[in-house]
Parts: sequence; C-alpha cells; structure tokens
Amino acid sequence: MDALTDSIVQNEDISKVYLIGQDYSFGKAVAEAAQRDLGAKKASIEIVGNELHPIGKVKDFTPYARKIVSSGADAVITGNWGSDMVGLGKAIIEAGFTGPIYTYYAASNGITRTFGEAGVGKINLVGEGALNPSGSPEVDAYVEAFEAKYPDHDISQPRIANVVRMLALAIEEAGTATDVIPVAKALEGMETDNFWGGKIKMRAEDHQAIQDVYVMEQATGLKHLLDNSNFGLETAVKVEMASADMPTTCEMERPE
Amino acid sequence: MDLVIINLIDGLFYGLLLFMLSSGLTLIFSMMGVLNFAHASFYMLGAYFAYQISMYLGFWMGLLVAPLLVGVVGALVERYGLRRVHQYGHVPELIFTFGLALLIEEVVKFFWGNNLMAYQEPEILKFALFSIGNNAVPAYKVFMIFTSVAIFIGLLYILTRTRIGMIIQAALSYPRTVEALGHNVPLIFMGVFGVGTALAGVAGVLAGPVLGTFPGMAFVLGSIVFVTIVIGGLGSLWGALVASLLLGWLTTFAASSSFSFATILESFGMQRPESLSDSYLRDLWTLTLPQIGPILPYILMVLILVFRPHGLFGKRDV
Repeated sequence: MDALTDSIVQNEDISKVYLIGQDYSFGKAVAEAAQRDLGAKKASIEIVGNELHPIGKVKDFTPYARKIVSSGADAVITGNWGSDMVGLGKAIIEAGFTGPIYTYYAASNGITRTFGEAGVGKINLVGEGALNPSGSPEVDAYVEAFEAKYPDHDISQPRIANVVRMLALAIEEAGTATDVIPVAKALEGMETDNFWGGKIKMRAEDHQAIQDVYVMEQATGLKHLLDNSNFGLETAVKVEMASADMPTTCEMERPE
Repeated sequence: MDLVIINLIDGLFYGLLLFMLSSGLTLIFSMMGVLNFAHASFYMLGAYFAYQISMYLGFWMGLLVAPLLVGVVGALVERYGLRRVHQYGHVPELIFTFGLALLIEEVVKFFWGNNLMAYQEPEILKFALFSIGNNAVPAYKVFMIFTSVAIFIGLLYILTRTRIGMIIQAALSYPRTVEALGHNVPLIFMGVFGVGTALAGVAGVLAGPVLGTFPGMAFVLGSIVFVTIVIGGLGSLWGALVASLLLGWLTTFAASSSFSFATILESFGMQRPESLSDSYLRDLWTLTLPQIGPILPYILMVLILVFRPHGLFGKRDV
C-alpha cells in the first residue's frame, strides 16, 4: 500500500479515489491503509467512497460500479480477488469508467485473459515482481522454462521461490537444518538476490521482507504474457526497496 | 435522478436474468413436484458449453447450440435418473438432484479447471449503447433484456394458447386422466424437464460473459433462484416474473444506496460512541445497506413465508 499510494500521489491526474473491497479482514485492511497513507502523503486527495461488499455473495457488481462512476472518482483501489475481482472490474469498465483500477490480485488464473482488451491501461496491479521488463536474462530463462514445462500455468507465486532460496541459504550458513534457532538467526537481516533479479532483505527488527515493489499495468505486445493470452503486465512505476523507511513497532521476543 | 434511472435498468437486467432461471425451475416444480437443486448447475453447464462452442464457431452458434445441449442433458437426466427415483417419493428426488449439483460442479472442474474462463460477449455488442450521466449502458445488456422478454412471451404463449400448453396444464392437475386420454405423460414430463433446463442453459449462455464463467457460478446463483420461486409462489410463471424483478430492483437499489444504519440510531437520539470497540452496538454503527444488500432477499423470503406461505401468486403450500 505504501508503494501504491506513492505512485497515486505522484500522478497529477488523480484527485479523487474510491475504495471498495470484500467485507473481511483484508478488504478492511486495504481500505484503512489507503485512507491512512493517502491522508498522510497528500491531503488534497479526496476519498469519495469507501465501502465493503459481502465476500463471494455479490452476483452483479453493476450497482457498485454505477456509484463509483457517479462519484466522479479518478481511480479505484480494491483488494478483491477471484471472481469478485473480475465481476467488479468488468462492471466498472463496462459502466464507462476510464481511470485506473489499482488491485493486488487482478492477474493470472484466467483473470488477465478474461479482462482482455478491456483491461489494457485500466487494470493496475501492485506486486513485488515485474517481468516486463525483467530484472535479468536468468529470470527470462527461468520463466520461459517454467512456461515450457507447465504451459497452462503462470508463475503467480514466485515469492515461494524466494522463501525456499532464503531458507536454503540460512540452513547452509547455520550448518544445520534441525536446530531451528541458528537458522532463524541466519535469516534475520539476510540480504540476497530475489527471484526477479533484484535484492530482497529480511529486516532484522520485524522480519519483514523489503524488496522492490512495482505498480504494473495490463498491456499487450509484451515479452512475458499471462494466461496464454496476448496480455500481460508492464511495469509503470518502480518503488525501490519499498517500505524500508517505515518505522516498526515490533517488540518480538527472541528465543535464546 | 440519473442514478435512479440507471439502477432501474440494471435491476431490470438482473431481475430478468433471475427470471430465466426461476421460470424453468418453477415450471419443473409445478409439473413434477420436483425441487430441482441442480437447476443452477444446468445454468453453469450452459455457460461452459457456450464458451467451448464460441471458441470454434463464435458466440451466436453458442447461444443457439449450448441451450439445446443442456436441454438434452436435462432430458436424459429425467429419463434415466429422476424417473427411476420418482417412485420412491420426493425426498429421494431431492437428494438425487442435490447430488447431481455436486457432481456437475466436479465434472466442470475436471474438464475446465478451477480458473475463470475468458468467455466474452460478441464483438458487435461490445459497445456502450447509450449513457445516462457518465454511466454507460452496454449494448449487450439491452440485448439480454430483450431476449429474456421474448422468452417470457413465448413461454406464456405456448402454455396458455397452444394445444401442447393445454396438455401440459392438464397433465399438471390430472396426470392419470390425461394418460387415460391417450397422451404419453412421462414423455411430457421429460420434455418439460428438458425445456426447463434448457432455459437455465440460455441464462447461463447470456450471463456467462457478464457475471463470469467459473466453477462457483452455480453456487452463487443457486440459492437466490429458490428464494425467487418461493417469493413468487411455487409453480407460478407470473409469480416468478414478479419476484425476479422485485429481487432485481431490491438488490440493485440496496447495493447502490449509501444508507447507513447509524442514521437510524441517531434518529433515536443516540450518540455515536467515542470508542466503537467498547460499544455493544458497534456493528450497527458501522453497518451500511450495501453491506447487507445481498441478504435482503432472504429476509424478504422469511417474511413471505410467515405472512403469505403460498408466495405472491402461488396456489399451493411450500
């Protein structure tokens, strides 16, 4: 959210933002964080709508889309996923909304393909991995090998690869895999290359992964595509080592 | 004002979609006394069949062929499944259709997977027909509205003005007599079941591109279809129409309103507490109408069952 709001604040065209999400912890957390961050970074941005809808129960998102268009919003932020994401996104675009829709999960698993042409330039996704352009030729090779082996899938959860890599490094450094405390100590503060050819750091104070975060836009004619469609995600904004400057309140007690 | 008009159109669209589903279900119920739990699954099959066909032959062939396929599947289910179970009474029938719903969902997942299908509306209907304020009305939705109205008029005509309709209505009340007159009643039942499921198929073909084609689509719409026919009155076509439109507008207006329950509390002279987490009414203070919009139909159904158990237009008990 820190990275997402950074890019919204820099965009001169956005002065009104609409928040909508699923009625559960994540939907609420997204709305709360957006309100807090936008308020702190640029007070002139107006939040013209903030609402939650029942999760997985809405059949037709059109009425919500009507409200969004009528509110005069320039951008929408949502934490929706799955069919709630597609339903909401399609309804918003069909209702005549022309601004960007900022999301977390609006790609892969059929979503990119379903939005298709309609999503180009509108569907934006914030995430920690960008492939267009990619960080290094090794990443390209890895992704191509994956797609060759599993043609029906995308690498949608590469953070899992990061987890395994860091764990393997920590085990090597600690010299043991069964005594977990030295392994955990090795992980604390570890800085290494991540999956996408950038850096990843586990902040020692609160164990948060700090890495580059990207705001990407659905686009066509790219090197790496999703869902076997003609569409993929193209980097629009890169936030280097996002949230590294964020203070922490963590007072975790560590075992000896 | 603009928003009211646009909501009327959207509610009409959603209501007519519900009607296409509930008309088949209520028809089957009135004929055979079977509450078909798998009805929404046939709706899902319609969408998936049409998607598959549209990949090769385009949307229009899908619209034409997919409902026919669904109808054939429905007729086969009646002939080789329901008819055998029928002799054991209504509870086995209910359990049979319930199991069928689960089975169809698994079959769909087996062949098409868990992901969303990129089932799209046809290119020539992919434009905004007109706009009210800034809100665009897609041509596809208008097309859907007209299609479902045409289906309703066609059904009504067949049921009330033709010979087939007369026989169907007679078989409904006096199956033995109609049989004695030389009509093949089991065949009529099979036909009605096939037509009813084909209607659900049409709804699926039309709704798939708008509401999304995914394995959960039957589950999402399944319960609301039952609510519709209970409110409208089991077995009544007019009841299904009125209840569908009512629910369409109810959910649309509820979702687009910005009414908050805090205003009710304030009208009772209550003050919003400083710290909501200490208040035992904290949920009411933060609740808005759009948040509970999708459960309003169920509340309406409970009220109808309490005050008018036959439903709005029904003649028999639920």
